[in-house]
Amino acid sequence: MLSIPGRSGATCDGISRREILRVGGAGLLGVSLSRLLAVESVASAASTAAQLGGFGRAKNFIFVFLQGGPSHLDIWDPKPDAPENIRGQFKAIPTKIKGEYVSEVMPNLAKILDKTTLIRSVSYTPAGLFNHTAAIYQMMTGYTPDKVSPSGQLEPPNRSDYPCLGAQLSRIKPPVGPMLPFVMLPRPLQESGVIGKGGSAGFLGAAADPYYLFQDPAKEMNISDLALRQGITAARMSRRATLLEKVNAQMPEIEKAVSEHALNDYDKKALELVISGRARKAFDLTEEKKETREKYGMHTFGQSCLLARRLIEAGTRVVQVNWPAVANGNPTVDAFDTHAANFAPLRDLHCPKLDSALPALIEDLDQRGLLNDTIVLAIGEFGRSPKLGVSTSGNSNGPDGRDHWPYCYTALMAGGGIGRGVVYGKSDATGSSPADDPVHPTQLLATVYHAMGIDPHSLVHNHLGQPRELVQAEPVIKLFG
Amino acid sequence: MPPARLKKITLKYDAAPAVEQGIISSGFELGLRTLVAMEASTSAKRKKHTMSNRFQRLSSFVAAFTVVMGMFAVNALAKRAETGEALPPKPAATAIESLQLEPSSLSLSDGRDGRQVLVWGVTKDGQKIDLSDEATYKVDAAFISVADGRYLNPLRAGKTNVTVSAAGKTSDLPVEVLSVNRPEMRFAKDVMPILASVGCNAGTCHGSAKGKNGFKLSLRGYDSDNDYNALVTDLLGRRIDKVRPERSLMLLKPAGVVPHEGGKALSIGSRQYEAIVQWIREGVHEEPDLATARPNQLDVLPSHVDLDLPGRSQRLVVIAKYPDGTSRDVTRDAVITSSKDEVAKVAGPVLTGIRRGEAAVLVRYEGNYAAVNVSVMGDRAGFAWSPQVEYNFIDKHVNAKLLKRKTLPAEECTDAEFVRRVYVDVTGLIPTSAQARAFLEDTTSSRQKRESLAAKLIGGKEYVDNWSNKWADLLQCNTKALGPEAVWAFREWIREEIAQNKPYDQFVYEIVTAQGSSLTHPAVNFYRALRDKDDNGKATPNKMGEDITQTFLGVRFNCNKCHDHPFERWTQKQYYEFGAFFARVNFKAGSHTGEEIVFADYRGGENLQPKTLAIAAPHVPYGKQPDVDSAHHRQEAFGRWLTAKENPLFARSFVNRTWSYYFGIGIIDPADDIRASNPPSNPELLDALTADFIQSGFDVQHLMKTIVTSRTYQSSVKTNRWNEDDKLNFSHFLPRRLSAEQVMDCVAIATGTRPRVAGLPDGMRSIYLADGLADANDFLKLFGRPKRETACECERSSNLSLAHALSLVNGPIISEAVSDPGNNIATLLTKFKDNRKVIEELYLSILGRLPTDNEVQNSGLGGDPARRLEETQDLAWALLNGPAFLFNR
Repeated sequence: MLSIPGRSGATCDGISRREILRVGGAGLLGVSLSRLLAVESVASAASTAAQLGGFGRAKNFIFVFLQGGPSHLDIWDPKPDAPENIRGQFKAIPTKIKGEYVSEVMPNLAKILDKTTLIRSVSYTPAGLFNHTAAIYQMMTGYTPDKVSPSGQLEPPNRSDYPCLGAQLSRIKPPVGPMLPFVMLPRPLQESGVIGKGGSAGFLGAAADPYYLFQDPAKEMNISDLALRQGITAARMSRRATLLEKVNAQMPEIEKAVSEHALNDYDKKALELVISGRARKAFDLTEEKKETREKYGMHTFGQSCLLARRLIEAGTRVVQVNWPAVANGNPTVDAFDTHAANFAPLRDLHCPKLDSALPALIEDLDQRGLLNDTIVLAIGEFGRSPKLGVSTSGNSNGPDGRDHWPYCYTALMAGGGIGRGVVYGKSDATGSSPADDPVHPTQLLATVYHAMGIDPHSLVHNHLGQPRELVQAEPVIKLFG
Repeated sequence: MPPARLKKITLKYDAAPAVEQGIISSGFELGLRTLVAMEASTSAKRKKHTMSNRFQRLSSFVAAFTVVMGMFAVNALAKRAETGEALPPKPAATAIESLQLEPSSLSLSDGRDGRQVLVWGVTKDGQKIDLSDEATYKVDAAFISVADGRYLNPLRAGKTNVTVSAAGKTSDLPVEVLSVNRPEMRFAKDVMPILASVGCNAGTCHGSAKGKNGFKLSLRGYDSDNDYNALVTDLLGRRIDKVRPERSLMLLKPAGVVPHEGGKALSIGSRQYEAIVQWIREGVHEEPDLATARPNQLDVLPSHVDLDLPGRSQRLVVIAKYPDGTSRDVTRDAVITSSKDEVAKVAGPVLTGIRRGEAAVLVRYEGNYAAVNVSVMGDRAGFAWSPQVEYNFIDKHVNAKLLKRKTLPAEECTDAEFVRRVYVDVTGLIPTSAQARAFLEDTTSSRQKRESLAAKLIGGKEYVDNWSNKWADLLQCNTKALGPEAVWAFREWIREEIAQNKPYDQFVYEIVTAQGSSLTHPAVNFYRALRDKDDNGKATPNKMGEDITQTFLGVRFNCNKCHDHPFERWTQKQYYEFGAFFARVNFKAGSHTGEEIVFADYRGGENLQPKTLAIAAPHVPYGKQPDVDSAHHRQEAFGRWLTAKENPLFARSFVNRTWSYYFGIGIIDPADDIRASNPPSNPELLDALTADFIQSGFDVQHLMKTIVTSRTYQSSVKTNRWNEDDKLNFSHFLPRRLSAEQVMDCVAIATGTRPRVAGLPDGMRSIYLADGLADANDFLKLFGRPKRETACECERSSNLSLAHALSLVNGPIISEAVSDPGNNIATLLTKFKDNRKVIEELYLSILGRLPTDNEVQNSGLGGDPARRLEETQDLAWALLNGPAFLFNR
C-alpha cells in the first residue's frame, strides 16, 4: 500500500521554525493526524496515474467558484446561429483562439483565451438534484449529499460531510513554511439559509477547514489579528506558545474532552502565522500598484482574485474565491441566478466584474511565472437553460430569464500543465448537451488532483474509519497541454 | 449489499430534460407529446407571476424541497454508492427455548385484510431475537393462504389455527376470519398509498411543484382530490382505460410498457399493479368519505428495537388505524427510513444493526408518522454496573437509560470544577478568585455547599443579567426591527420579568397577548419584531405564526407553509389557520419618538388559504380549540390555549430547551425541532422534568435548581472505558465553548480589567447590550453572537476555527487585558513577593482553582525580577488561551 505523505510537518524547512517556535513535534503546521484519517492510495492506481501526462505539474490551486450558476451561453459558449429565444441578446466576438468566440460582454476574456483551456462540454444529470446547494456540494466534494434535513431543506454543514477539494489538497500537500494552507474568500457558499454547505473539511475535522476570510478586500479589511501586536516581539510570542503548551499539558483530561474542537491545532497554526508575519503581508493589498488593483477591478470579486494571487505567492496552497453573492440571491443586485432577468444583470453588473478580474488574474499569474505551477479552475455549479423563460427546476422565470441547466455548461481552466489556447469539448447547436467529449464535474476535480500529483482514487478514512476515494472519477488527461 | 468499494461513476447523458424544454422533439409515443404541450401551456400561465425576490426565495425553497423528496425516494429504492457499507456478519445462532408471537392472535376482517405477525425466539436468559424471516407457517388451506412467505390471507370465514415454526420450535397462532368479502378499491385509501410507496408523487417525480412532463400529483399525496382528477379526469380521462384496465396509461407508464422517464416502477402482476387494475375495473371509485380514508394513527411493532449485536436484524410491522375503528397491515406500502445509517440500516421493513449506537427509524404512511427508537448494543463483555448515587429524580431516569445502554456514568466533578461550571451556566461569568476561594475553603459537605451555592446564584443579579440576555435572543430584541428607543424598553422589560421570576406560563401569556405602546408596554415589541410583509407589501402574520410555534412550542412550522409537512402531521391548512390568530395584530404610530402602538384590530383582518383564498379560521393544530368568541381578541384565546398546563408541548419544549442550555444538547435535539421523527433520547426523563415544572407552577428557577443540583449535572468531563462513546445520554459532562459574551466578560473578570464594549459605556459588560449584533463588535460577531432576527437557536454559533484562534492568541481581547497596566497582575506583583502566591492567584482567578505543584513549576516564572511582569503576563495569557478557560467544563 502506497502512502501519500500525510504527516505534514515532516518535510518542511525546519530552520526558522526551530528557532522561533517550539510548539512541538511534527505537526507544526497544525494538520494533525490524530484521528483515523490517514491518507492512503491504491498502489497500482497511483503508479499508473503517475505515468500519465500532467501528473504533479501543479503546486497550487486557485478555485474561482462562480456560485449561482452563470449562463454559459451568454458568457463563454455563445450560439449566434441559434433561434432568438436561445441565443439571447449578446453578440459573439472573436478571441485569441482562431475560430472561437465568446460573448461580447467578455472582451478581456477574448484577449487572454490563448492562455487557457475552455471546456464547453461539462455536463451531469442530477440525481434528482436541481437546487444550488446539492450542485455546489457535488462541485466542491465530488459527492452528492446523501442526507437532507428532516425539516425539509438540505442539511446545514456538519462534520460527517465530505471534505471540499481545497481541504483535501491542502491537507495532503500542506504548504512549505508558515502560511495559511487554504483560504476561502470573500463570502461563504450559500443558498437561502444553508450557509457553507460543501465549504468545509467535513469529516477530516475542523483543523483542516479553510481559513475563512469573509471580508470585502475592496474595502479596508480587519486583519490586525495576523500581525504581531505592538510591544510583543516574535521571541516573546514564541515563549508564550511554549508556555501555552506546557500549561495545557497539565490538564490532559480537559485536552481530551475538547479534542474534537481542534483548539490546539488552531492555536499552533495561529501562532505560527502571527510570528512569521507572512500572512499579514499577503493580505495587504495596498502593497500593490494602483494600476494592478484597478485592472482586477475595484470591487469585491476583483480584489478577491488579486488577493488570491498574493496568497499563492506567499505560499498558500489553495485559494478559493467564491462569487460574492448568495447562490440564489437577487440577479438584479449581485447573483448569477438569473431566473427573473438575465441579460441586463449580466451585461451591466456581473460580466463586467467577471471580465475584469478573471482575465487579469490569469494574465498576472502568467506574467509572474506563477501560471506554470498554479492550476486555475473557474466554474459554476451548473449553467443555465438554453431556452429563455422556461422552467427546468421548478422555479419561475421571467420571459428573458434562464433556469438551472446542469446538462451542459462551460468551465475555464488554466495553468499547472493545462493546455494553452485550447477549446476542449463542444456543445450542441443550442448549448443543451455536449456534442462531444463530455466532462463530468467530478472529472474536473479528478483532473485537479492529478495535476497536483495526487491520485484521485486515493483513499481517505472518514469519521467512521471507512475508506473513501478522494473522488470517484477519472482525470481528463487530454486537458494537459 | 454492495461492497464497500464501488464501481466508478458512469456518465449518463439524458435526453429527457431537453425534451422537457421542447428543444429536442423526438418521436416519442403519442401520449407524451400531448403531455409536453400541456406542460408548455401551464408554464406560460405561470409566467404571469411577478418575480419578486421573495417569490424567488419561496420557489427555491420548493426546489430544495423537491430535492429532499427525491432523496428519500432514492434512499428507499437503492443505497447510494458512496454510503454503501457492507452489513456486519450475522451473529451466530443462539439456542432458542420457545417462540413468542406478536400479536398472539389475528383477526382478519375482510378478503383483502392480509396480516403478519412478528415471531420472537426467546433464549434461556429471556433475550428475544427476531426470527420472523426464518419462520414457516402451516395453515389449513381452506381458510388461509400465505403470501410472500408471511402474509396470512383469508379464504373462508371462521376460526382456524396456524402453526408457526422457527429455530426448531413451534407455536400456535389462532386466526379468526370475520369475512372474505373483498371491499371495493377506493382511490384515497387504496390507490394513493401505492402511488406514494412506488414514488410517483415524490418531489423529484410527479410530486414536484410543476409535476413532470405534464402530469402533476400533490407532493407525497397530500391532496387526493387533485390527484384523483389528475389521473381520472384530466386530458379527457385518457390516463385510464376502464374497458381494458391494463391498457391505461396510468399502468403502461410505470410498468415500462411505454417509455417512462422515471423508469420502471411497477411490475406487471405485482400486488400493487393488480390493486390498481382492480380499482380501474371496478370503476375508479373515489372515497365517499374522505375523512375516514386516511388513517389517523400508525402503530409499529415492535415499539422499540433492541439489537444486542451489529449484524442482527429486526423486521417491523406497520399497522394503520382508521377513524372508523378499522385497521390494516400497511407494512408493504409504508416508507421506512433510518435516522442514522451508520447505526442501523433499513431495507424495506427490515433493519439491521451496523455498529453500537442509537438511532430512530421513521415510518411514514399517508400523512401519518411514527418513530421507533433503535438501540444497537454491541460487544460489552466485561461491563459491570455499579450502584450510583442519586441526588434527585433526574439521576434516576438518566441512570436507568445508562444501565440499559451498558454505559457507566463518569465520576462526580470536583468542587473546583463545580464552582466554575455553575457560575458560568447560571450567571454567564466565571467566579472571581475570592468567590472561588470562599467556596473551596467552605468546610460544609460538598453536596450541601453546592446546593447552597446553586440557591444563591439562581435568582441573583448576574443570573438576571445572563438569562434576560438569553431571552432577548429568543424574543428577537434588535434595533433593526424595534428602533433604538423600544429596544431598550423591551430589554428592560425582559430583565424585570426575569428578576421577578415570573412564572413561565404568565410570562409567555403576557407576550402573546400584549397590546399597547412599544415604550410603556414593552412586551408588544415581540409582535413588532415578527412583523412581516408578503410579496405585495401587505402585512402577513406568517412570521408571527412560525416564530411563535418555534419559540414557545419548539416546533418548526415553516415547512407546511407551501404544502403539508413531509415529516410531520402538520398540514398546510393548519399553517394558515394558526396564522389567523395573529391576522388582526395591527400597528400604528404613537405620539413619542420611537413609539408604536400594537393593537388587536376590531375592524377585522383575516388570513387566507393561498390555494383556495378561503378565510382561514383561527384554529390550533392540536388540542381543544380555543374559544375565540368569548375572548377579547384572538391572541387572548390563543394565549390561554398556548400556556395551558394541558398543552403537551408548551412546558415540555421549554424544559427541553432549558436542559439543552445546561448540557449542550437537548433530550430532544435540536431543542427547537420537536417532531414525531425526532424522538427524545430519554422520554421518561423529559416527562418527569415536565411534570415537575408544571407542578412547581412553571417556576423557572425551580427547574434550573433541580437541574444543577442533580448528580447528572455534576458529572466530570473525564470519561471511562464504558462511556467514552456516549454523547447522547449525559453520562459525562460535555464541554461547551464559552459564548461570545462570556469570553469577553470572563476575560475582564479574570484579569480585573474594565470591559470596553462598543455601544456601551466603559466598564459595562457585553451582556448588557440591548441590541442584537452591533457591527462594531468584531469579536462578538466572530464568536457567534446572534443578530436576533430568527427564532432559531442555531442563530447563535459556538464553533472554533483558525480565525477564532487568531483572535484569541493575538487579538485585542486577551492581549490587551493581559498588558493593561491597571489589571490585577500589577496588583498581585506588588502585593506578593512570593511567585507561588502570584501563580496561585492567577490560577484561582482564571481557572477557579489552585495550581498543582507541577503547574507551579511549569509556570514560566523564573525568578528574574526584571522579567517578572512579562512572565506573569505571559502566564495569564497562556491560561486565558487554554481550553480550561475557554470552555465550560
